[in-house]
Amino acid sequence: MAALVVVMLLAWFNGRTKAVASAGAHPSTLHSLPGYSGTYLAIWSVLPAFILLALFGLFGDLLLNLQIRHSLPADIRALPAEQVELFMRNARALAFGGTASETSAALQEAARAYASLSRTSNFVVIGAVILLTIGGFLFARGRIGKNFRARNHVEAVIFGVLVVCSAIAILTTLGIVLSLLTESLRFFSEINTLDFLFGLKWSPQTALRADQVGQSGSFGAVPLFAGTFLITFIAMVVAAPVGLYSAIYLSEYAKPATRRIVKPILEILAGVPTVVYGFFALLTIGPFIRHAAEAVGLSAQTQSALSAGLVMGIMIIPFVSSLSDDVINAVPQALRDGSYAMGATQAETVRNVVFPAALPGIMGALLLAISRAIGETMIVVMAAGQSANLTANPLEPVTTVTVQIVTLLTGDQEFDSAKTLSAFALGLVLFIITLGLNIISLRVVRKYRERYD
Amino acid sequence: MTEPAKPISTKALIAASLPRRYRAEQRFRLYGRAAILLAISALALLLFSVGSQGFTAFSIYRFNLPLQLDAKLIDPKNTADPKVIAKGRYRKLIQKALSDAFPDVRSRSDKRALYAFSTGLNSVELRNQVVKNPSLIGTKIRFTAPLSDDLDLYLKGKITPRKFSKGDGTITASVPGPKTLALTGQPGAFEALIQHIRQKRLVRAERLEEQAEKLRERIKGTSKGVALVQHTEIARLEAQAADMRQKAKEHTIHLGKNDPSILIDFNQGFIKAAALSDHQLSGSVLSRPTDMEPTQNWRSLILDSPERSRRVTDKQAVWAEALLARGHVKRSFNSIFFTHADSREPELAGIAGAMVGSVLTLMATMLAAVPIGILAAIYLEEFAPKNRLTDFIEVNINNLAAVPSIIFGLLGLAVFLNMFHMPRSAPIVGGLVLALMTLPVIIIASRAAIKAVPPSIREAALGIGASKTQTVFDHVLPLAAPGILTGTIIGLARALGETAPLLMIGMVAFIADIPKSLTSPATAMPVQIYLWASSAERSWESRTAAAIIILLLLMIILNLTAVFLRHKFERRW
Repeated sequence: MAALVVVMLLAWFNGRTKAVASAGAHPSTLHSLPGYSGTYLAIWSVLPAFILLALFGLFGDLLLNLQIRHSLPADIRALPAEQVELFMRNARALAFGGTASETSAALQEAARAYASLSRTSNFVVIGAVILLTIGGFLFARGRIGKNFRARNHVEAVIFGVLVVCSAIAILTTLGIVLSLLTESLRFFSEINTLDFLFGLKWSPQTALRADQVGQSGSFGAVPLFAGTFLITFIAMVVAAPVGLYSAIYLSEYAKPATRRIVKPILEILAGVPTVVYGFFALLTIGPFIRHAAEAVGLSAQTQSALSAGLVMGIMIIPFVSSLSDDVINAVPQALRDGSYAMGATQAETVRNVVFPAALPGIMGALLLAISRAIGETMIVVMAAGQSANLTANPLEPVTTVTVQIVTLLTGDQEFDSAKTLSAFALGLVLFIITLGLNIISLRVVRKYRERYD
Repeated sequence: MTEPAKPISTKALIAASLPRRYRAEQRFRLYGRAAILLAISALALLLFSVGSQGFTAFSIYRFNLPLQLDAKLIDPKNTADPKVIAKGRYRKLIQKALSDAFPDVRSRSDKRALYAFSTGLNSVELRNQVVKNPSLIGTKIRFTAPLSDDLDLYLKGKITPRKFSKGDGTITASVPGPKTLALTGQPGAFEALIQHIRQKRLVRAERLEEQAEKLRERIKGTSKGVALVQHTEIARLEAQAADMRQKAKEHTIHLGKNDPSILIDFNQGFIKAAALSDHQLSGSVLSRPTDMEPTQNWRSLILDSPERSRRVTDKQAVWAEALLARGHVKRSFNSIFFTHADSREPELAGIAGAMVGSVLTLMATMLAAVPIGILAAIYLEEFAPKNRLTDFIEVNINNLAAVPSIIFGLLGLAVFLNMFHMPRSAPIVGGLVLALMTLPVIIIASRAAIKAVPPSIREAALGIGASKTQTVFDHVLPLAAPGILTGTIIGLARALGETAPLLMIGMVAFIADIPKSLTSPATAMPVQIYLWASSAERSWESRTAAAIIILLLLMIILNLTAVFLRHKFERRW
């Protein structure tokens, strides 16, 4: 890496000098500034080598792995997929000085092959990098001259980099969709899709031994959806009225000075990390609800849907309020003036004129808040409980999609079990739901904005 | 004809409806104020509950005892070999120092209770001191270490309030048995204590009756078999309550296992009251008084929660009080919290490891997300042709900004860990995942900043012969920089507080070392908070809250920087 930087600097100065020299006594006759020639040379000497290195770093291991897998003895290749995977992992560990869980002659053999192949491929790549660097340097140096359009070439490269950078957003989406889909498909090849979507029992433990009681876990996700829905509902019961009324008050009634102070304070609520809300729910709201419920003769636990929902409601107040605030402000003043002219009071104007006019936008804001609540993780992990409980009683602990993803994927895990894969299936469901909500709400808000612009 | 009456009646109708409408107006306004008040008070409650829990963790009780570095226990053969010295029995040395402070603690169980003042891990600290400076062996040093978390909590009054009250008049002591002591004071000397106990007993009786009442209501409608069991339970509760009420009337109070502990500080010793009447008290000696002379300077210490339901026994409490009185235990700033990484022992746990982990993670995030985000924004705002692809990218970015963070964690797990075999729990992986998450935020903010640069700047640059690229990089970008910086900082602040994606890629492990590089196992501050919050022991609570305070402070600093930058460099065109 450091070597590449040095080469880059050397190439830059060299290219610059050559360009200046080629112009002779009149540097102003050069097509491009000499710096561009330097950059051009630097790019040609480093970029191809760098791309090769990056590709090798990303995929070299994968290729190596495939190569070794093909050269394995037939009896090992005939093993089930997980065992081959385990074998490969052990071979890797042996080859690179880790700790393997077993050793055998075949394993030693594979490890040796692995190590030697990795050494050879390293040499090959280093050689190729050096060749590319020198070749690129010589090629580019040959082209630099008085009339060489270095700037245009450099700008083309910059343009390419810009396009690649903005494509990363697409790549991320693609990565999310692909990774969720492939893992989920593997899950659905083991578990019936309908059982997953409509099953009423969630107990994802798979047994260590085949003869264990209850060895096939059941993956009915309805309790999780119900829990998610219950908590989201409670959160919206808190956040929708509070957020809306705050937005109306701030945009219609409050003095500019009040607005300047209150708005940032509300935004702080959105900036507090969710883990802090989780702590708050667990230590303050949860016990409070338990005591309050006991005082009126109900039984409740510290972890309950109610405490998680309440705290989540507090968290999404600012989402509702600032989005609706924007929407309400976008309602043209003429509508209000018309209403006043008819003799309506301010409250009547808001209720009968401004609110209906802003309704689509407000719906969009609420949908966005709902999607935020569904995807929220830390509050529910800490305050809602872990037991899959199909109930509508907000005082009982429930579990949600996000909580299960976390519990399934933290701690030790084998990657191929249905238990782990089910987390990706849940993730896929979560992604589809939130994406749908987002798309709808963004479209609604945008359409609404265009109406009054 | 009735027609002419109509307009008058409409007017009257309106006039009559006005008060109602004005009331509705007032109500509406009130709802708005109430909503804002509710939101703000929720924030205040949140900050208050975190703040009040957290600030106690910023100080800690440390003991400071003379400790004989006995050569027999460290290096019996006098080899001076560092390896031998490192294997010395330092735990034993600390235990000796503790029992030297209380020579009359003899029984095994008492000694074990006394040794619980210092966690086993303190011996590592002592060993390091000795290994670094072997000439200390054989000398007497003063050893300072944090008091174990339960006693720390006790002294902070978090286990049960330490209620001291000064005694009235002179009391004299007599010794009826080997380990008991009887105290006699002036009439009414112990009256306040007796009243306190009576009060507590009545409260307890009431609570038992309430429980019985609740059970009675619940069994209406249950099956007979269950009801029968419940009836015996109710009878038991009521009998207990009656017994409590009876005992509250006793002339001489005999303290039972459900009563508060009453400890009398008499001539630097402590007597635990077993029976007390108006001016007489008898009980067991927990720590021996220096002498038996009558004294006016006596105090009583009431610990309200009964001994069996707390983690610190009366004896331990008394020893802690004695050490505090002698100046061998002092409260001081909890520097451990800021210099140590995580630990199994709350008193030795610190936030430094998680802080370094957060910094490393954020560094990786910044290196990845900032250049890519800014370049993407430049492309979309300045170069991109208006076509389907550009629209698609835009929609994509807007949707990515609203994808739940945990999904990014799943992505990181599937791609970075399982496909590219990157190390688990490493800041670099966490940083990349957070970078993907913050990328949309940075792009959106940067685009807004670039859009705000007026076209006249671009036209002027193009007019004097600059190329499009030169215009953008030399003229537009510097002018948009403050806005971009502000958006970036806000995005990074959000990444700093993010937990869920880091859980997915294994940054939740227990890590007792401060991470050194981007690939060493680490955890981040919010994850540390999550880990501590899910620990059961009481003393983690205040440390969790303290960690939250630090995290919030860091976020506030970042956000204030952003606000400051905006105010300082913002240009309105």
